Amino acid sequence: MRRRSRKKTSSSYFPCEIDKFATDIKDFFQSSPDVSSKQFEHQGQKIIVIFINYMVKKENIYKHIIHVMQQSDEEWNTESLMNKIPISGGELRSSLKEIGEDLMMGSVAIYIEGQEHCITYGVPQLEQREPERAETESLIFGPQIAFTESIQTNLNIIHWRLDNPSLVTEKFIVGNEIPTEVRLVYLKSIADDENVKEMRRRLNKLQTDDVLESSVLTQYIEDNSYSIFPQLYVTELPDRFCYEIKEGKIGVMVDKSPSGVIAPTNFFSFFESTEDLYTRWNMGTFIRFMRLIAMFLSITLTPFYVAAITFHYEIIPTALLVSLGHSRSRVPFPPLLEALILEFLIELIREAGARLPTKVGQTMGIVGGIVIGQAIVQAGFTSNILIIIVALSALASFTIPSYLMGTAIRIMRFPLIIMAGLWGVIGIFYSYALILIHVVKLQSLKRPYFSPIYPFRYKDLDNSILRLPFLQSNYRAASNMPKDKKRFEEPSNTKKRDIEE
Amino acid sequence: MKSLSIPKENQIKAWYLFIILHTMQVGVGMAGYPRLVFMEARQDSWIPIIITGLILHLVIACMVFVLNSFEKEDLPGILTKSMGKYVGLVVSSLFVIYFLLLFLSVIANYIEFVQVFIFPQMKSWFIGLLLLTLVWYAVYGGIRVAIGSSFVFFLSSIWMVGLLHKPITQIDSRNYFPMFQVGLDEIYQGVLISSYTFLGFELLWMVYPFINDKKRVGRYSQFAIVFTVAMYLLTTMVAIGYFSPRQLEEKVWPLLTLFKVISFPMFERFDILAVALWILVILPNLILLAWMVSFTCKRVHGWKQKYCLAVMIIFSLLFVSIFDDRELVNKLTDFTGRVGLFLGFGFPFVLLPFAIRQRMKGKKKNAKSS
Repeated sequence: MRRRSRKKTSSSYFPCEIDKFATDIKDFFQSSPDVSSKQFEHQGQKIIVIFINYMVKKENIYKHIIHVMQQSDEEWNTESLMNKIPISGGELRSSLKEIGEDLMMGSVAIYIEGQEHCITYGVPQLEQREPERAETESLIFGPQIAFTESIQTNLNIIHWRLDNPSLVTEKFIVGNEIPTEVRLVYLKSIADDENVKEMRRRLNKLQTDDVLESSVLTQYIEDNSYSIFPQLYVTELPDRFCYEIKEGKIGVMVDKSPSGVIAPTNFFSFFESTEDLYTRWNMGTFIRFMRLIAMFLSITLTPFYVAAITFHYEIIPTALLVSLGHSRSRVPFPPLLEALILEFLIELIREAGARLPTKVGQTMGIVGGIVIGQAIVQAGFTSNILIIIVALSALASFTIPSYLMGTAIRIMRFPLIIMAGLWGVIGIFYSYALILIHVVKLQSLKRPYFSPIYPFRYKDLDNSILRLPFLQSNYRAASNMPKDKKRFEEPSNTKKRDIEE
Repeated sequence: MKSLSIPKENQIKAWYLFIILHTMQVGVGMAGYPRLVFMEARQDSWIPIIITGLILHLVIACMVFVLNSFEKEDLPGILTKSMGKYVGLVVSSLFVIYFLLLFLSVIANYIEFVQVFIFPQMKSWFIGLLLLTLVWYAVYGGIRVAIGSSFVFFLSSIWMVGLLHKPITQIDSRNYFPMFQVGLDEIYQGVLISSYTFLGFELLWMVYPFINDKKRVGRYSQFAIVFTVAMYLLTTMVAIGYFSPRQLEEKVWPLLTLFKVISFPMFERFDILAVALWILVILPNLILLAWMVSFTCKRVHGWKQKYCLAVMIIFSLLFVSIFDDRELVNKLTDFTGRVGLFLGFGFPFVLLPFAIRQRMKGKKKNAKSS
């Protein structure tokens, strides 16, 4: 909005000479060799057409602009040009800066000498990839399509999936140096007005030179930027995005980014996957529980091992104590150091595997996992049991569908292990209490982050921790404050029959 | 003193009272309670517990009556309204000191658990520091976080009750008989000794204005008392049945000792974990008490709540690091219990006449206006 007002203040540049206009535009682009201009005379009028070579579809310019202008006999002026040219989205511009910005976005500028305005038409040619299979949030089951970097394609997919007249996509421009288009997407009939207002306020307030990507945008607009937990869900799956919007959340799409942002998000939605919806409800519930247990194990196992070996031998059962003592007897390090070394190693393997090309990455896994794992035990660096524990907790952390949350959980393990090594179980439970308080304290778009546990909403347990059969779950989660709570009317024939009827 | 106006997002539903009043009452006292009451009333300990419970129902009913008649006021507001500015200020300050005493006794007792069961060498000030940082962090988030974290801690520690199934299977029922051997005097002593353990319901005084649906306050606070009494009855009866009378007299914290028999395939000795887990049981007490102290200070004196909180935490840290011996902690606990008998159990009845007067006034006003 502010950009508009700035433009109005600049005084009109036109009318001017064609040659002056051409050189000024050249100067505006630092004499770039890519600015092409074509001048011609038609019925005694001097006309110039300017565009940037690789930003426009040239056939369109030749076919629908220059050809049309040259074929006709009439004398052109700005209005007649606007009427006759068969391309939509013509704009009247009167300042050099506006024209320059339009050209950068893939427009063509046409100026007829002596006229008050210059006309720009958007004929952009954007290099973009086709929508492909989702990579970071891969699904076995269900739609495979993922967002791409182009916001046009993404909005196209969203509109296609959310075929509803109340779908709103508000446009924002964010970024002072590199303006980026940001869209606020929601269903007006369902999404809560407060949420929309809050998100709108944050997007308008945001001052930054450039939003690189939607996950960067989330870090600008999050409630608490110092927390380790992500507070807004970033997804590359259109089905996830559209499902959440239909549930009454609001979404943000950022141009040049292959993922959408969902808000408000609660802690448990990071453990959901749309696949839970595609599979049957009992499997879905089981898998959701499994992920939550995995998260718990991932931050519990290694710290407990360290605490037990360092301070509380008495909690280890006798049978386990023998084998544990046997494999620990060769290890020269204190348990804390032992655990940190191994955890660090696992993180190294993961990071190296992620950075390397896929082909080499596989070798990494073998070298890192098997060779080093085997050797490290034989060399007496760590105990066998610790390897099992660390591998298990690393594995558990990868079951979390959200990459950001999985990383948060894995990183959180390190301070926990250190606390366990320093103060045993007291240290561990201190950390748990701290994490719980922190999670209760967090908010996402001013909505409680730990909902539906606190504030407790038992109806919302469905579709966050549990997953009930669809006929039972005909309500949208109250945590999102949807305007329309009911997803559908309850089926009428719910009367239970007797056995033989 | 101004009446409170609470923004909507800070209001809580009445049924949370059920949980938070319960968590306030259950805490450090619980671990040693079976022995204390057993020393007085022997195998008939259930009688004083139930009598205490009945008295509590009466007290809560009285408190709710008083609070309802003053409508949107908390304790300091009621005191100034009914007793005048200066007396109100003095009595409110007394309550602040009393809340602080409760806070200190909880923290000192827990430090002792840790030192006896897990780390004999760990310094008191350090355990105190750990606890107090958590308290500071939670209270700093305001009432929403204080109640929320208490609720979450309740959920994450209540499952420990299920662990009692193991000792229950090993109960010797002869320990309960013969019944009705207890005299009136012992029952009286048993009720007195229970007072400290059951304290904490004073939270209702302060949290009342924050409650969204005030009509249900009475119901849910009474439920909380039922729940607490049931919990104490269960643990005490299990302890009496499980231990022989001689043994029980020797165990300072029978409940924690009970956890010693529990073992899982992965944990041989659960009591270590139980003591560490107990942090989740006492944190709601500490957090809510710290909130009460700092908030009452703010209400009474108009100081900033964060400074009150900071001063209180520093004071508590100094206190636990200087006075860390068993005798003193015991004395402090007893003293707090005795103060609680007056300020907790007795005080609502003192306010009763004022509440009745307030109601009469309200009625008169209504009559006039109509």
